[in-house]
Amino acid sequence: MVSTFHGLELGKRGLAVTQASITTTGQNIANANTKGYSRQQVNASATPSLDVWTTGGKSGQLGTGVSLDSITRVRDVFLDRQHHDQASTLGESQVKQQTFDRLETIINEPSKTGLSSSMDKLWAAWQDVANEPKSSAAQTVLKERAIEFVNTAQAMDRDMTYAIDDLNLQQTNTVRDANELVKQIAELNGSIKKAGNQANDLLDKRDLLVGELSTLASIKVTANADGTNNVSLRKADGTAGTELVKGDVQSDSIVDGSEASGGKLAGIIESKAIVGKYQTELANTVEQFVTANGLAAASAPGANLFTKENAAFKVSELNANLTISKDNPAQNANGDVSKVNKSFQSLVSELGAQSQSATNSVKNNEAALLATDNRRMSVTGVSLDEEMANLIMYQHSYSAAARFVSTTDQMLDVIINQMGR
Amino acid sequence: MRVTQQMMHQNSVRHMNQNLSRFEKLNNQVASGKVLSRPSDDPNGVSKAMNLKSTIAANEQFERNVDEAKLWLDESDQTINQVVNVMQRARELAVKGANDTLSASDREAIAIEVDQLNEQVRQFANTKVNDNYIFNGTKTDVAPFPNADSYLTDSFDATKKLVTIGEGVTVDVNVTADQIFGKSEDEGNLFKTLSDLAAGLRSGENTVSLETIDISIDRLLGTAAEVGARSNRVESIENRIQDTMIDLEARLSKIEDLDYAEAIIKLKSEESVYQASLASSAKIIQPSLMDFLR
Repeated sequence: MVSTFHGLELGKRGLAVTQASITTTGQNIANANTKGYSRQQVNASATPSLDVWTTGGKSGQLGTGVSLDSITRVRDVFLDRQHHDQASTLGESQVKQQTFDRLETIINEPSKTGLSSSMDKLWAAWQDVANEPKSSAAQTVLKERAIEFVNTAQAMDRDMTYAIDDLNLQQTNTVRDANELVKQIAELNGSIKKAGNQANDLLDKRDLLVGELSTLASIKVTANADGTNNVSLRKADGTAGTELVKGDVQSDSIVDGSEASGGKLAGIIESKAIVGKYQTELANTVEQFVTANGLAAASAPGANLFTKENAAFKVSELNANLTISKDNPAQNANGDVSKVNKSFQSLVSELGAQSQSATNSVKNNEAALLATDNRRMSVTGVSLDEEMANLIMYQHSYSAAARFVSTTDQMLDVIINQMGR
Repeated sequence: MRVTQQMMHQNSVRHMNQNLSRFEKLNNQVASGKVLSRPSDDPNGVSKAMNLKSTIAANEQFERNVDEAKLWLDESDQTINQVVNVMQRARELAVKGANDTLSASDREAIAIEVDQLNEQVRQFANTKVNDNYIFNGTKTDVAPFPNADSYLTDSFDATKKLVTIGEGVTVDVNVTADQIFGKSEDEGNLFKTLSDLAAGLRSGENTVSLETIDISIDRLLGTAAEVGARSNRVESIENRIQDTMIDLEARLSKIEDLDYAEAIIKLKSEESVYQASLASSAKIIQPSLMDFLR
């Protein structure tokens, strides 16, 4: 026999589940724009039914209402993984592109004030000196052109050194940020472990941090049964490197970023090598050029147009010979200047080509990341239209369940107050 | 595919950004008039443009050098012609002085004029252009014949002064003193001829034959012809440099200058694309089911 108050219990369960659904809808709407939030859904199922006797001597099943099984977040871990991979590639190429951008600004070609034009001007000054060897004006102009060349070359060299300094600073900061993220991920894993793996909002927060970490370094993430996960750095061949997080424990930290195979950190380290390479190439070009024009030790400048302070050539230690004048006319070393011009041109076009491909790679990776992000948002994102439709639906369910309770109430009123009078 | 508001928002923002950045780039090109502003715009083009600029700078210098060469050659030519006039006058005086009917005082008067001619020749030999002595080789700051008897010691410098007027093309722009006045031991050295003539007139013994004077005039005329030929060569090279310059400038312009008509049409189309993306974003972002549930 079914309890008299069965209907009230059934109605109550219905009210409770619709209320939870409405609250969850409210939560989704409230977090529609929250970064890293994945929409949540209420999973409900019918409660076990009661066996009741029917006339045929067989038992029938009478429904007992609904129960709330779980509130889960809608998320696709495979899309997450894909997103991590693309985020680290993009992080790496963005830093490289910024570096090339900066190098292009430093090289300052094509322009009327760059190194190339100051080499042309110096060549022209030699011609005037050849035309009028005894003219003090021609010697002065030549000396000034030499000073201009030294200034231009040194400004470029110095800016490249600054660029490397900035990258070093960026590297230190990024390593610190990454280690902070690693620490937070381990802490959140700890909270998730305590709360059980239905801790949707904690999971979202952790996944957001893992996503951020993936832009700094290429990582490999494996999930554990208790909702926590393990995070390792990924090597260039795809295998796992240093394990940073193991469940709720931070097992290691990033030392200087050189162990990262992708992400911003790898980009910074590659960028340093790139700037270093161009600085060396620039120094070679400058050395060839001044040697072709006459280079001597600063202690014994003679009639050479340029002097260097030490035996080993350094752009920062290059000077124009200020003793050049009508009485100490400059002696042209008559080297092949056009060859130096050509080598500088090839340096510039190499930089241009590399910068162009870095820009393209950023564009491509951005597009790929956006496509994955779109797919991920298509799964996990909150659609306001959907939530509004659900809200109306749940509102009606709630009214109907309430109505059911009052109907049962009226039924009981009949039994209790009006029967047997 | 399930579409969410955040997705649409993100996509709209990204597309608006892309359109705006293309718009901005074109705008920059139109404002600067240059297609190339950094190496990555066209790596190959930038390197070509740099090469052309260097070549143009070199050619500009060659043009200046040609001007210098022409100045020297013209000045040399004029001076030689003047010296020829002097020598022709000297020849007339030599013919006149050979007349036996002249008195000693008449011959003295002629000798004085010859002395003057000698001094005039020395002044021509010390001609300066732009404060440079043109007949003293590369020692342009020193007079080749500082004194009247300097010629006896061949005090001049006979080095060729070379001017580069093209890639690997040089021309010697000076004529050396021996080509005009002759070395001290040469027959028909101008200074020697003139002073011998004056001395002969004074002593009454004709020591200078007309042939000697003719030899000196011939040397002058030969040198003048050579200078003329060099002048022609420099002029033809000047023409070639000017033609090359026009060609180089045109090629540089083709690489780095903007085609305004094309750029402005593109700019207009980018502008409308940008506005369309703004309009469509405004339409897409605004409405949701909420606007219709009242």
